[in-house]
Order: sequence, then structure tokens, then C-alpha cells
Amino acid sequence: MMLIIAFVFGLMIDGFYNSPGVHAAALVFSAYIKSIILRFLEPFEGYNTDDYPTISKMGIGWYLSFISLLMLLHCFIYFSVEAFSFVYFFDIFMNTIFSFITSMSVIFLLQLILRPKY
Amino acid sequence: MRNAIELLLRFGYHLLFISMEFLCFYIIINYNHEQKTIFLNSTNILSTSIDSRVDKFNQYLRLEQENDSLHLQNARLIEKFIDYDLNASLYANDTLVLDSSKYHLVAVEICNSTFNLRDNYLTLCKGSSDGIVPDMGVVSQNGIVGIVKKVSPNFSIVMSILHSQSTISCLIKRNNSNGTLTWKSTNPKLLNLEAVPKHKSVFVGDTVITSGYSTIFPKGIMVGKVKSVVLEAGNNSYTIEVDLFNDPSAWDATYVIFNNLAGEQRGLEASITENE
Repeated sequence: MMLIIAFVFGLMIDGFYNSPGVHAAALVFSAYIKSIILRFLEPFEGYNTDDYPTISKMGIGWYLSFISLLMLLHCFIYFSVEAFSFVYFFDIFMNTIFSFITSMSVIFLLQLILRPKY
Repeated sequence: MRNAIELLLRFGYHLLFISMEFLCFYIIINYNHEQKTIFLNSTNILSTSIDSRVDKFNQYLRLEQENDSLHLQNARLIEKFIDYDLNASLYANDTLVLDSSKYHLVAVEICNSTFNLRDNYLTLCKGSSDGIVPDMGVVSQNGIVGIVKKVSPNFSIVMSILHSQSTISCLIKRNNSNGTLTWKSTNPKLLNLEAVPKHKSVFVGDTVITSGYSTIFPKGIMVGKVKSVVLEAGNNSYTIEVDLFNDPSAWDATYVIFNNLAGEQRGLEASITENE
């Protein structure tokens, strides 16, 4: 279900960016890798049934590692797919680093401004 | 069927992921200009490299046929070369032009050979059923190999030049001084040229060729280069070491020389000795 939502969402973004499939591919990958990262970051006693991946529930450290891993992989895949060749590895790398920093700051600002209750 | 459904349930998530990624890439390649060109380019490179590999492999499979045909072609070329040499010397002496097909070469492969014994022999893969008879000369691409000693219907034994009893009449090409090629050393690349009289001049680096005085080898086949010349005190002839052009440990393709007039020449020579 997650994959399908990611796919549709990606296609919608691609519609705006006029690059059919690029965002979709990166988002589907992120959605797939999310469960693996969640398993990787699982606390010692496991998740509770009402856990959500937010600061208030899981703490700032957990949230930070979760979101940064996901964002880093997402950026990397996105720029790889956009360049479509590892000949441009340096460009991919630089793009990934800078959009990672920007995206992380935007996410934190949003978290601070909106402060989700649950 | 149940297994298939179970498999789908188990790996459905991963399968969905893979199929969706494929779908995405399909969309990317079909609707994006830049990615499309890169994709086409890469697949082109890939396919050409696979193509060339397959080609190489096929060539490798054909190698044996190719080798055989080259072997035959070489036989014909050496034949031509010998005939040409023969004709050239005849023209130079302004005598009759003989029939140019005096010598005829047949390509033969080696079945078995030695080169590290005192008396070395080779076994060739053709015999009397292909017309080979004893006392025929055997050459390789760039030198002499030996003389046929015994034949069976499908094989023949060749006494190698690396044999203590082997003597082959040779010339020093520069001044036509005659000598006998034997093998006294233990090095399979070094032979000895004996009985070159001391009034002839011999230098290091002179080319040694066959003399053509017997019916076995035609004149002018390259043998080797003079490596060292020593005139020992009280001796009437030089002691010469000859470095072979061909490496006996690497003989692979050989050619048996058919001399069409050998019988005639030998018969005439034999009749003289009988009369005496």
C-alpha cells in the first residue's frame, strides 16, 4: 500500500517537474527502504502498536537518525536516476549533500512550527 | 498453485517494489529525452561488447580449421620459394630451365617428438598411405627438422637433426663453402658445422643454408647463423657452432619434401658405384 501511495505521489510531483518517473522511482525506493530502516533502528523492546515516527513519540535522537538516513538515500537515488549514469558521480554526490542539508532544515523547521500532537 | 500463492504472499511486497521500479524506469526512459539517450547509448555499448565477445568465441572455435588451412598454404608458399630459388640460380647460369615442379611439399603434423635426448626422433601423423617413403627431408617454417627413416601406413619416424648420427650437407651462404651439419653439443639450439676447410673465410653471423647436394633437401633452405668460429691448432677445418633459426622445442607444423626426381638421380648414382 505504501509503495502504491509513493508511486502515485511521485507521479504527481513529476507532473509538476515535467520529468515523468524520476520522482516516482526515488519515492518508491524510499517507501521500500523505510521498513528496512525501521527494522534497523528498532528499539531493544520493540515498537508499541501506537508508535508513530515523530519526535514526541520516539525522541529527537531516534527521529534524527531515521529521517536523515531516509533523506540521504532518497536524495542519492533521486539524483542518480536523474543523471542516469554513474559517469557523473561527483555531481550526484554534491547534489545529494546540499539537498540533504536543505531538506533536513526544512523538515526541522516544519516540525518546530507545526508540532504534531501525536 | 498453492505454493505460488504462498510465494506471492511472502514476497509480494518485494515483488511489488521491483515491478514498480521497473515501471518507473520504463516511464523515465520513454518520456525523458536525456535519460533516453543515455540509456540507448549504454545499451549500445553493452550489446556491441557482448557481440564482440561472441565473435571472439566463434573465432576461437574456428581456429583449428584456420590453422589447418594456413598450414597447407604455407606448404605451397615454401614450395614456391624453393622453386623460385632453383629457377633463379638456373637463369643466372644461363642453362636450361627445368620443370619447376621438381619439389613438392606436404603439410604434416607432429604426433610425438623428443628434443632432450642424445638421439632424438619425431613421429609424424602421415605415412606411406600418403606417399611418404624413407629418406625424404622434413622442414619446418624456418629451418630443417630431419630425415624420414621409417614409415608405416599412417605414421612415419623422422630422425631429427638433434641425433648423434645425423649429418646434413650445408653451405655458408656468403661464399658457398661446404660443410657437414652435426649435433655434438647438448643444447638443442646449437649445432656444429664440420669440415669447412680453413682456406675459406667464415665469420660470426654468416647464414648457413642447405646445399642441395643430396636428394633429400633442396638448396637454399635456411638453417641458422654462425655463432662462433674457432680454428684449432693442427686442424685443417674450422670448428663452427651454428645457432638454429627454429627452436626444436617449438616445432609444431612440419612439411615433408617430395623430390620428384630423387629416384632418377639415385638410380644413376648407384649405377656408377655398381660399375666400379
